[in-house]
Amino acid sequence: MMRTYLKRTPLTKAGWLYLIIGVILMVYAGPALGHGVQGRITPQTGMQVNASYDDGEPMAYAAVEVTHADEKLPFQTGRTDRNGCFVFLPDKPGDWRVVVNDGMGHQLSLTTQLDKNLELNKESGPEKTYGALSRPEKALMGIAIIFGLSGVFFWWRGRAEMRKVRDAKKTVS
Amino acid sequence: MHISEGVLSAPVLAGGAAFAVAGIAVGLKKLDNNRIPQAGILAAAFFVASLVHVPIGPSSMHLILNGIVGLLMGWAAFPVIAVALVLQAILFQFGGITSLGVNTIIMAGPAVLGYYLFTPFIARGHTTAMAGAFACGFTAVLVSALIAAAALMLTGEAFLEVSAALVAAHIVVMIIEGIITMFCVAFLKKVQPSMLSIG
Repeated sequence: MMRTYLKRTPLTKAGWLYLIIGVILMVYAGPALGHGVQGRITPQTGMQVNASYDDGEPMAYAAVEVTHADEKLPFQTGRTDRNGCFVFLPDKPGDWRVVVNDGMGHQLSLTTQLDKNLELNKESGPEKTYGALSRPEKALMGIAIIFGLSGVFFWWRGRAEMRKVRDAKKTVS
Repeated sequence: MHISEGVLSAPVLAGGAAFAVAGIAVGLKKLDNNRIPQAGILAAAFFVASLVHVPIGPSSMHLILNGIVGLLMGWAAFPVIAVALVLQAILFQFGGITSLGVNTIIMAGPAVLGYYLFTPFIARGHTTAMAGAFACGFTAVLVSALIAAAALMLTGEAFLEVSAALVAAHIVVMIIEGIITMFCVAFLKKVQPSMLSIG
């Protein structure tokens, strides 16, 4: 039956071969030649970055760059939302570096370490701690240092003056 | 206005540091012995001013006070501001250690400029002096914003966009600084005019 059908058609054997190859190519090459798009929105947890200025104001719409320590190219780039938040989904364990830059001179740089389950390694959390002193205590400390420095500078300049006076006295006597 | 660590490229940081060191050297040379305590007090005031936040709409800005420091100290504004910036960077992580030079130029450069531009006005009658003082406080912050934008431009940001954003963000601070400078000058003119380098 098939043989008689093939005989009746105007295509030669080579023609059939080309046709079959063409169909196979079209089926397999389809996805590569024209990308379809698909996606969905699901509730997902990831690594959330909260960037804010020291007075609590969020670093809104600031440029973010997420890079794995072993890679040169950034894993993800983007911007924070209006609340200074940014979420990324790391795909391998290790050190991850997040740099948030507002383009006006302020840059926040955070590093975090993930274990093999892609969970935060508690021992090296992302929070930086800057000593135990409160802000007023630090301000007081700063003022004290400034007064101390000006005192030392005053004494140093005064020493030279004193030497001049002493030399002048010697030459007089 | 404090530029953070890692934002600027190495040549900009090195250039800023070189200019800052030169400015500090000139400032220390020009600083008379009897003005050292005054320098200390102004450095302390400048250091603490950045902790005073001015609420502006949903955000807030901090005071800078480089106008009044420049008017009172002249070139000595460089060491005064540099010391305060070092402590702000170490204690509060404002700016950064590597960007200290650039930040010193951003803050102290306009201070010295304000000293040369506006001291002649301060010596004149009340209204002119007050206008000069306001303009000094206002201009110092404005020029700081422009220098910061220029530094960021050298590292790839667009100058016009950044300077417009910085000036817009600091416009209220400029006015407040102008008023503070005006009050300080009015007070010092009455109480101790010698502090204003106008005799």
